[in-house]
Amino acid sequence: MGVWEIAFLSIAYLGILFSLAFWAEKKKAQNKSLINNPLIYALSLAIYCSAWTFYGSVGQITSSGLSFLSVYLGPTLIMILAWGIVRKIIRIAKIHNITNIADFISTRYGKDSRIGLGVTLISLFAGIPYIGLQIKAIAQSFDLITQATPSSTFYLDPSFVLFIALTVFILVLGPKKFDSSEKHEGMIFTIAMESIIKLIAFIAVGIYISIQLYKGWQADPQLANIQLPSIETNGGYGNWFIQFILCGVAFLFLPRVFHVAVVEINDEENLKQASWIFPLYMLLINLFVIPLGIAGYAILHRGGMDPDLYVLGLPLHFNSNVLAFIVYIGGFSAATGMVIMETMAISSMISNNLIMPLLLQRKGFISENQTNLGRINQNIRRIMIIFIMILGYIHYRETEQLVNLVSVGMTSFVIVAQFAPATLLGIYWKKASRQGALAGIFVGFIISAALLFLPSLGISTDTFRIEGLNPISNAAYWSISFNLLFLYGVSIMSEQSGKEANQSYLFVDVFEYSQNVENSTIWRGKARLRDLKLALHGFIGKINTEQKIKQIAMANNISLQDVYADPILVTQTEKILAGFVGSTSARLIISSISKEEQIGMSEVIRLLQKSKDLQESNAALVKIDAQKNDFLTTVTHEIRSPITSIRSLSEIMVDHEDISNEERKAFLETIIQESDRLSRLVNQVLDLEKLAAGKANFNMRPIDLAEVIEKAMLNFTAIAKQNFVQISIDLAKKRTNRQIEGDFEKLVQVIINLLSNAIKNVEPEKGLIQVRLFENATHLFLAVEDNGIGIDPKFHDQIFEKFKQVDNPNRKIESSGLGLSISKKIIEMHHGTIHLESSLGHGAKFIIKLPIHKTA
Amino acid sequence: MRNNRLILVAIVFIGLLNFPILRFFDTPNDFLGIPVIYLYFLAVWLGAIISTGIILNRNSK
Repeated sequence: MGVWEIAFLSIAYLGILFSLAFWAEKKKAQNKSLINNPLIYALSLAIYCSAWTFYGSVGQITSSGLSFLSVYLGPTLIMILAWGIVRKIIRIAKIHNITNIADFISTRYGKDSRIGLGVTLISLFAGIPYIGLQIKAIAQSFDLITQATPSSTFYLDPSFVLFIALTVFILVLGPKKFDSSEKHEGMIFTIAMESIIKLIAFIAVGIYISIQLYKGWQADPQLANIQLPSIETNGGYGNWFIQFILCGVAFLFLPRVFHVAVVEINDEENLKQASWIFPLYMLLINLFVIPLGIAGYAILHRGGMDPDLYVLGLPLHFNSNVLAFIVYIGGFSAATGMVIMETMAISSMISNNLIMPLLLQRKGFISENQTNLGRINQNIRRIMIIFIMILGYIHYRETEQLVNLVSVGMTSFVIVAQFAPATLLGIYWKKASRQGALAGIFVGFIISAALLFLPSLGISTDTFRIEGLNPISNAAYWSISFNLLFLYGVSIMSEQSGKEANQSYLFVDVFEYSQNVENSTIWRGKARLRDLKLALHGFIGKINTEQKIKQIAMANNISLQDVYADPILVTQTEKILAGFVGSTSARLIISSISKEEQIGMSEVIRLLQKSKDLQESNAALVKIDAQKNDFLTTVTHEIRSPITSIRSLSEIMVDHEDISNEERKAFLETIIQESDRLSRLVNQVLDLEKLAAGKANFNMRPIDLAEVIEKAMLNFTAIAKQNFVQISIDLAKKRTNRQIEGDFEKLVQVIINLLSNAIKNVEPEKGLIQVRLFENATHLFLAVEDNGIGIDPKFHDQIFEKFKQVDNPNRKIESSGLGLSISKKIIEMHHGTIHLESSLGHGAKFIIKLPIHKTA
Repeated sequence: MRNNRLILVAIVFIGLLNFPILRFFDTPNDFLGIPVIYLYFLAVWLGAIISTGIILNRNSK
């Protein structure tokens, strides 16, 4: 196919993608988001599968068998755990308006600009070769399909035209001015579409070649004898294991994957489906790697073709031009998707963590450009995109013949994996400190870079080579171990600053604090409202600024009348700015317009605790309210029954004048009883409320518990006789000198309550109630034990609650259900406790424990 | 609860795909022309995908 024909079709394809993006943006403007669904989210994650997957897997299988599968099995492992790990990262990023991995790590460690800068430079270092690799894949596939020889002058090379077109595409869809959330609806939609196209293209060529292979197989059985090297003979299980883990860890920290997975997600719930759809996607795109590898090796190996080009070489070999073009477009999609997202992510890192902080720290820069900052930020990003693209292109031109797809990719993986310890420990371990993170990332990066690159400069690193490990696994092993060691070691030896500690709490306990964090104002200081508004103008425009400020003020009940802004407003403004320029720069802008006070660690925790406490006490209030309602229902019920009987008996007496005097007397006695019951009930309710409100008068004095028991018995013996119940009193230590401090009458009431409770639970004539008094060095104990039916242990907790009566078929005496509740309150006022020992069928034993009066 | 199950799936996933269990399947033999090791990988992979999908999308909390 002709050179300019393919170049034109490629650019036309970019044009179609552009219209799709435009359409998605338009839908979004109508509030019909195309990307807020799990399928599109999962497909956008497939940005992970770059040209490396599309061309490189087949290239690798011919040389080293199935070991390339670790590149997909590792991320599958992360996706299995995504609902735990990735959701936490997403939630944190959303709360802090974090838009890239450098911001994430620097925000966690007290918004430290050095960490942000380090992560940025390392990402750039790892990203450039990776981008160069994609440009190489585009150029090589272009040359193969057009049969052109690449021109040595770069501007005459047709692939250069594609490179320019791609750069323009990214610039147009990329950095936007008025969008704080850094959401790129159109871009994500095109990425998802590209994922579909690369999958279809790969499966199509896979099926086609499998059929060809099967035909050839029947003609030439020799083909079937090509065998894959086993994992054991090819690197061994040690390499396999390290790469498996490495790929999983690196997956999440690739700038492009972090961007689509964390920043562009619309709804956490999408993760639920994506956790299985994305691994399934990876499985499908690898389904035909083996037949393609075998066919490529059998057919194209002798011609000396680069194994990375087998996927495209095969349909060309079979003269299937249409299929070859589909494959070319599939590979083009894989490469462009990666380049688009990677340049976007890295450019925002550079702008947020390097260029903007440098500019903002220049004297007078902020005040001169206040309303212009948004535009400046956008332009910096554009320039950075061009810069990264050019670096990638240069890398491709300079190293064209040197490397294969997979080794460059794996090198990048080892480097970005250095972010994993600081991030993952950072979200689960509060002690992880800024200095620890700095040390870990620095040491890890130096070790990995040394082990990966020194050999190519002719310096041997064999001393550090572990037997059986290949250079990639070896570098991964050393660098990640030392990274972890330094992160852990330095963290436990260093002190966190207040700001750092604050962030560590917000990150680690994000699910606990995420409702409070909006308002957990850690910022303390003064900023003028006017200045805050000016700072926002530059990014979201004048009208939006006013709206936003009003919105925040309304939601938080803040007055906008003061000259100085409320701290909540300052925090929120900083958060909005962070969405545009990253946390480091946002902090710089805010501190330029305000005077900030340092706050200590203890204060941070206190503030967080306060908002948590508020939540808890609110929950407690709701519970109390429900209890009050229960209480009212029961009280009215309890009051109604005596009233009903009083009323009906009185009615009978009024209506029937002929009833006998005896009957009349019996009726009147019942009426008196019921009235007593009613007034007792009312008194009890009043008592209880007094006790609960702390208004009851306690006449505290040293008293002898034995006297209390005697007084209670005086009132109670008659009732016991009436019910044919025997009471035995065992005051073994009678007249001991030990006294307690308490209110005599109230304690008598407690004992009567317990005794009447016991009477209700025993059978007449067999009933035996024992009252015992005993002591230890510090406390006096009073036990009231019956031999009744007992109380099921599962009700023990409830029994002291108001109106809780455990169902008891033998109950003969009416009870309000308030007695135990009142008793418990009274005992508590005496600094004592009351508890129950009982099980069904074995009686019940209430034990009161009261402290001995000291001076006695 | 849900997270505990997912962690279990992850551990089993790592276990099945590494030494020593992996060694039983890491042979040059094939089944119907497809290498056994490849079929094994696909089976474990698919198993993990299905279990993850079921655990995350069952209605119970």
